[in-house]
Amino acid sequence: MYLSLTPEQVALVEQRLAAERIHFSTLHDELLDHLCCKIENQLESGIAFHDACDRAFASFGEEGMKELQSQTIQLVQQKSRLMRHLFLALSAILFPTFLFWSGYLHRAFQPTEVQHVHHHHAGNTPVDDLRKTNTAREVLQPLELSVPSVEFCEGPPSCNPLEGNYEITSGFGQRMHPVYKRKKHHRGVDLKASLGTPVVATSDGVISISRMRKKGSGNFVEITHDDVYKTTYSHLHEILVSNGQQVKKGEVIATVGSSGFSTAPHLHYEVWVNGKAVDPSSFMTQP
Amino acid sequence: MLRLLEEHGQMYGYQITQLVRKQSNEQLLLTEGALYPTLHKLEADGLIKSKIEKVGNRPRKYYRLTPAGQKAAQSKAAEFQAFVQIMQLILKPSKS
Repeated sequence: MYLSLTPEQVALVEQRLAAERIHFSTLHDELLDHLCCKIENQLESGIAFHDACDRAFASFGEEGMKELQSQTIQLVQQKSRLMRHLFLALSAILFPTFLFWSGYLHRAFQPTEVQHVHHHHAGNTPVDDLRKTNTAREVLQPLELSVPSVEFCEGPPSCNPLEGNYEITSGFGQRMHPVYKRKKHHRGVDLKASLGTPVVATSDGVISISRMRKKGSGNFVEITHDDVYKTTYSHLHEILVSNGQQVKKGEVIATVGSSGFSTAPHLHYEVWVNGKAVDPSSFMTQP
Repeated sequence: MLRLLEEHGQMYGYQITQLVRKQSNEQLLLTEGALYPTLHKLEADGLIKSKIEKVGNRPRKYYRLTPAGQKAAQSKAAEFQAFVQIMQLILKPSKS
């Protein structure tokens, strides 16, 4: 059984983490989750919460956590220093140009201040400006800004392509091919279903391929969820979406069929991670 | 680490440590002190990016490769394989 910490227990772990003086906020949240995972793992093997908590913190070693923080900051700072040098080099090139243009603009328009600011910012990030005005004790804040968290939407498939119960009739990996009668690698899973059963998108995304065919995979839909994850749905009966269409997780995109190289109605479902087919059952919930 | 992210899509810190332990038959222990500074460094270098997702009652930070990271994962793996091969030649010269 999977154990999950209660909010009160998480708060206790957070208190202890605060006592370790971890200030770097992204690291703080990350370590909190890490510690909680460790504790949950121990709870599952029957250890009491407080002991599990002690062990999780002890595993970092004395001063280990603080060392981790300073090392992280140091490594990230190296990058910031590099950016600062780049900025200095850039401004050395841009400054004469800026002088020339500001003089020119001063003659051309009155409100030159605005132009000033704009030019000064060319090739420069807000982080650099912050760094210049920061005192040593405030140095953590711009550091956090210098590690932008790039948002990516959608994400891995997180529901089943068929609603309700399902039955995997053929799993991922080596198998005897039902038509060729020899061993072949199976890139997805086959889910048994009756003709016309709705097929749903397993995560938000865009329809990247939707085609009707009599051969091979038959009527086929591919959804690109983001730059990492794709899913494909084969041997469909009816396709209810078109190329380029945005779909939401759980949205019906097609119905189960037996088109293409198939002997009975079923859904052949594949999950692709970074251009490689992986076992879809690890992205599905138990039937 | 890049290789693991390439294979598994997106992962969080604790998951990476567990996976390294499992895949190395409990031989290799990736400590937090080595893991997190590296992750943050890779992120600052633009090879990986992160997303914070709420899981249960706490936030969890997921990492995944950027296109530059995917390239790096492949070239670094090839580089390392070449290095191992060369070391093997030195350690076990073929008797011919």
